[in-house]
Amino acid sequence: MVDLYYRPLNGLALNARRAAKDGEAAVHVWELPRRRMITLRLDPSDQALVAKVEGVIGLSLPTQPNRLSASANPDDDAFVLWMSPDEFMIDVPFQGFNGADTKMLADLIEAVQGDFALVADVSDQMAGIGLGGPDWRNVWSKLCALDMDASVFEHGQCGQTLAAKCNIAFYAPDTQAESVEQLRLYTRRSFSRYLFERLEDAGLEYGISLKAF
Amino acid sequence: MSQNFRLPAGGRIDRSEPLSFTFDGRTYSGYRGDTVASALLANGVHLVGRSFKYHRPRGIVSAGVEEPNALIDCNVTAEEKGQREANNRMTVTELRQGLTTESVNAFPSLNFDIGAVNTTLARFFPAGFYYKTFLVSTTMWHRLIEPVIRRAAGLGRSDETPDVARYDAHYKHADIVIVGAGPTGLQAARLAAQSGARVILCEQDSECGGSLLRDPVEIDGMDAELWTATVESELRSNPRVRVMTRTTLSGIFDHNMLTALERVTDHRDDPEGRAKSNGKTKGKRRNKPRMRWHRIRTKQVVLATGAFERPLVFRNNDLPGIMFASAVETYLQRYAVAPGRRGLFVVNNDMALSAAIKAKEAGLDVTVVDVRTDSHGENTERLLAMGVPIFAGHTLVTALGGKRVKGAEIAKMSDDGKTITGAVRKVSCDFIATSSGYNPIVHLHCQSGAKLDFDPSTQCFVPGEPLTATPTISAGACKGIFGLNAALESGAAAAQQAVDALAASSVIAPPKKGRGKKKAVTVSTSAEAHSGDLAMRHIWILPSDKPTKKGGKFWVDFQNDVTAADLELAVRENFRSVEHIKRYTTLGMATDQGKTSNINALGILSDVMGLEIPEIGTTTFRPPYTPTTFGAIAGREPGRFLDVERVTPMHDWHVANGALFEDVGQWKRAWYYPRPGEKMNAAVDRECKAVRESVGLLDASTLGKIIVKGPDAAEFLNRVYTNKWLKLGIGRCRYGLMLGEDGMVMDDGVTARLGEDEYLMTTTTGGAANVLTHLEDYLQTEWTDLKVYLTSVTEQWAVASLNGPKARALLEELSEDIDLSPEAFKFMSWQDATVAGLPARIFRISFTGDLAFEINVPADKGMELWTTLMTVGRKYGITPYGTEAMHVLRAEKGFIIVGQDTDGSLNPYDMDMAWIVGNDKDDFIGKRSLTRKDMADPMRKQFVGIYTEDPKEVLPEGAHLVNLADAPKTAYPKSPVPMQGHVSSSYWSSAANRSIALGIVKGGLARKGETLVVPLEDGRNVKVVLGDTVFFDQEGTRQHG
Repeated sequence: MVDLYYRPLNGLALNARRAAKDGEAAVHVWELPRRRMITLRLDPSDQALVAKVEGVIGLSLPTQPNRLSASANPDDDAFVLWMSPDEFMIDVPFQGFNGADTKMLADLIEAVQGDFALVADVSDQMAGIGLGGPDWRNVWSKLCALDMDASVFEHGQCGQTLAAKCNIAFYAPDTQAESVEQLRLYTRRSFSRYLFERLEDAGLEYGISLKAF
Repeated sequence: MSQNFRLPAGGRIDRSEPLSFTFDGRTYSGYRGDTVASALLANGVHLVGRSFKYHRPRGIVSAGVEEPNALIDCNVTAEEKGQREANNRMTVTELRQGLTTESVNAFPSLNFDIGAVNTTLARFFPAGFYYKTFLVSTTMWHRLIEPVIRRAAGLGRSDETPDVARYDAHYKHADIVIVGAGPTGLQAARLAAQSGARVILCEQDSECGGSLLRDPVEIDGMDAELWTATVESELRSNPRVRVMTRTTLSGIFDHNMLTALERVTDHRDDPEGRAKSNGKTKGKRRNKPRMRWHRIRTKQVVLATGAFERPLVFRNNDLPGIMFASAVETYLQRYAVAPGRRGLFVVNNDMALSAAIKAKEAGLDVTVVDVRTDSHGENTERLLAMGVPIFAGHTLVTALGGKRVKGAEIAKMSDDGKTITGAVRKVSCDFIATSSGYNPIVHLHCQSGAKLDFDPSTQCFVPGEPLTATPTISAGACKGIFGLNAALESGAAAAQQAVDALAASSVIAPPKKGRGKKKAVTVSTSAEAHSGDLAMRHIWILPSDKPTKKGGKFWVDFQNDVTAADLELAVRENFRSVEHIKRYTTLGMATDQGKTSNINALGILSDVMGLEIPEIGTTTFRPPYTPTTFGAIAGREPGRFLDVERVTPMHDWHVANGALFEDVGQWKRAWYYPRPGEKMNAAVDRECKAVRESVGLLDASTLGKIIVKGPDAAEFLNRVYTNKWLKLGIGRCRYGLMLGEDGMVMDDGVTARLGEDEYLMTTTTGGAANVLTHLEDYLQTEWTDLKVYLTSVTEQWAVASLNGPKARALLEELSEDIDLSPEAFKFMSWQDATVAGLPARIFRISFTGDLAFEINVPADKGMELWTTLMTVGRKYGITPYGTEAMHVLRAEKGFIIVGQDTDGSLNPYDMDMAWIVGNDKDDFIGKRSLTRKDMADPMRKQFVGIYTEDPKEVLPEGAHLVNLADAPKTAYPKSPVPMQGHVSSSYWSSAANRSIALGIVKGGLARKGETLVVPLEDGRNVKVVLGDTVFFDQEGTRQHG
């Protein structure tokens, strides 16, 4: 069998529609590739346990609420998100980062063996959508009550909220950019088509592209 | 038609852009910048509507949102289907090329209206007419009165086809929201913006300026136009400021959550801007919504909403051509339109007379009636100097005319203002401008929950102390501060107050010290002059030779046709509370919500009742401030975005293979897969047969899956489920029943032990999120001692459920690393394996009562697993089945569906599930409730099987069961029949070769064997026998196969 993943947005036939929707797009909405995502629940004050976990993933766990930790090398595109006082989300490229595609999950499970901790692979459960372009804030403001003004939301922050009736986790991945120019949104896969279509619909008036910004 | 009443010069209209539009089928012309009202007046049209009840001819009285009379329906042609909008105020409807409009409530035409006969019959339609007719007979009401009233009364017509426009919604955030961009609001915004705060300035009009648009004065050495433009451009160039014109701030809710309606495209000529885009238009501006609905969170609110002019109440004051003085001023100044040639100005104050000056300057004949005996003031002096006759201490006895005012009778009043003393003199005029002072627009202040104070000198309500939770700062005219200079100062002070509050809560940096006070705004003396003199004389009903008691018509509420006599009658009939009088007379209950009538009504009531106005009080101000299109509030969420449609990893296969879908919570689940031409019953029957005879495949991905992990996981499960969990072996599964704290069945599912301290719990599809929240709540608040972590992995897995006697043979073909024999892979256990080359976890559990394997693979691989099973399974006759077949199959086995067979009021004993209640456990959620006496009542409704006497009869779900002796004689018996219970599940079962039904019946468990009756809608009484809930394979051997 071919090693194929049937991703949640496949049904939207985005490839076929990309060409048709381009031009002077002020909003970009796109499907993110499959990434290795792992839910981690543990007590972050257990330093020995945290050290073991950080050793496996190669990233530190964020210590501040609604903050993320990013790989020192921005090209890694690897993050750990703070989700709750005892919950973190590992979000790294599926391939090419620290064995994410092969052994990271097993190593993590191994590392917390005997400790009070929970490790769960959610790579298939989560669907990622990118939102960018000069007018991305307008699109956001149609769907979500959170204030994303530059004076309020900045790099290094992450959050969970409700957008277009879907639970989402979000952050700005371009940590090197001067200001936040794009967001990465994650939702449960079953919600992702609805969310994608809401984003696309909200962006229509500004001119929309379905390609990465 | 030519614009005979357009002044040769001036106005803010663009004479280079003529526009044509229609009103009642006739084409008129106007200019860009006109409203429908100003354009009609320019064409000399004053008769624009018929009143609600009496069909009286009515004209334009205002130039703003408060307009009670001049209502029109817009976009009225057949080509504009789905765009028609009823009851627009033409005074704020911007003109655009090709706009089509219609007057309201006129039949057959505006000029000749049959309903006007109601005027003559008016004494038969007194206040409380509706309530009085209720007291006639019910038959009379239904057959005669109601239909007649519905035909005769009413306003515009709404579109009966769906609205084609696109509407959108936005969330917005600000530090300071300023409502109203008149001089006060502009001044406030300017200072607020200088502080660095995030500011939103909302203006309902198409442009900023407010009262400056009708009364240009000098501010800061600039003329008003330049001053407004300067401030506006300063604001617009500040990235922290948003100036929103055509935006009505319509509501204030708790903690300063504001709603605002922005009209985006109504004023534009291009139809694509208004209607839904068909996708054919080019450019970025397509798909602009017609309106936007903004929900704004702000820290501070400054209200600079201004004031409405108050009309005087006199006899026949509703004739077309009678307007507010400020409206006359607006039409002259802003639109360069004369409302007539000869104007009579009837006022009780000097300030309003600036309109008379403008009329005189425009070359119109002007006469003034001043009800004050000591007529004085800056404007009065100027008018006298211009040679305008001023009749001080006079009353307007009556307006004369039919469809247009033709003149008036005036006379000197007695000192108390109650009677006429002098001779009645006729004055010829073609418009009358009136002013009885000003009413601050306190709507938003009141919506916030704050109270009003009464200012006796101006006889108006002004904002009282704001609430702490929803603080608003009022400034300018809406605070009762009427002079321009004072208003500007008030705006600045309000901004400062807002900025100080922000600085105090560290939202913005405090102003640097040592920089001194900001330069105060200088207001020219001419602005000072325009403050006028607000000394007023309050006479709520101008005396006439034919007063209310003698049938004189003195209109208070134009839109709902309420007269002074109606108010007097209500008081005579002993109504005392103003809220009661409002509802009895319908005063203030129309689409204008009494914006122009309320204070006059209170004034009249105060005279009649002998009370001061504040003692009477006001009615309640509710959002929205002006009528709001429902579509705007709904935004993008009617239609396909109404709710999330959650889909499974195999959804696209189901669609491609013709499945119909059932909504389960937000999920779209495959319901059944009809073959071409196949009816539902046949398809479901075929799918059920496949499961019983060969093999069926169900997409079970939607079931909730929760990882329960930690050293106390077993103890945790032991507390959340009714049964015992401490001894479940690794690799084994167990069915569990979960109760709410009330002891009622809440959820159920199978939980598997994955490892030493790790379990995987499954929940119902619809209950998944609630169960997780419920469990997390217990861990965080009740059982903080338990070391357990939870996380949802519902969507990590795609689940293909193979059911049927050939399931094993098929699975064996696809997996090599697992022994599927009954001995090696027992019922109620799970194993990891490779299936079709995919890493899988297989659960041997069954919801059909047949041999079953639930195959879980990572969701991205679900489609691959499913298609492989379908391909390889062909030789075994594999058949995909949907939720309907699933329901039949489980019902054959008597398996319950939580939420269908239970309804939140049934405990495990009611469900005949005592076997699953571990009463010897220390505790579990709901245990204590189960000990309540009522829980053991033998006559509680209990779960039973229902067997129709005729096995072919399939009962409708929801049908009621009654005792044999109570069987009704007809389909709709006169007296109610005591109900014993109802059918919760009912199907045709081929496996049992009969109909099967489950339901709950009072004392049902002890009544098995008893015959009851199910009365059906068609009048038949179907006899049923209560019995066991298992209809098929009573021994339960098949699932162990």
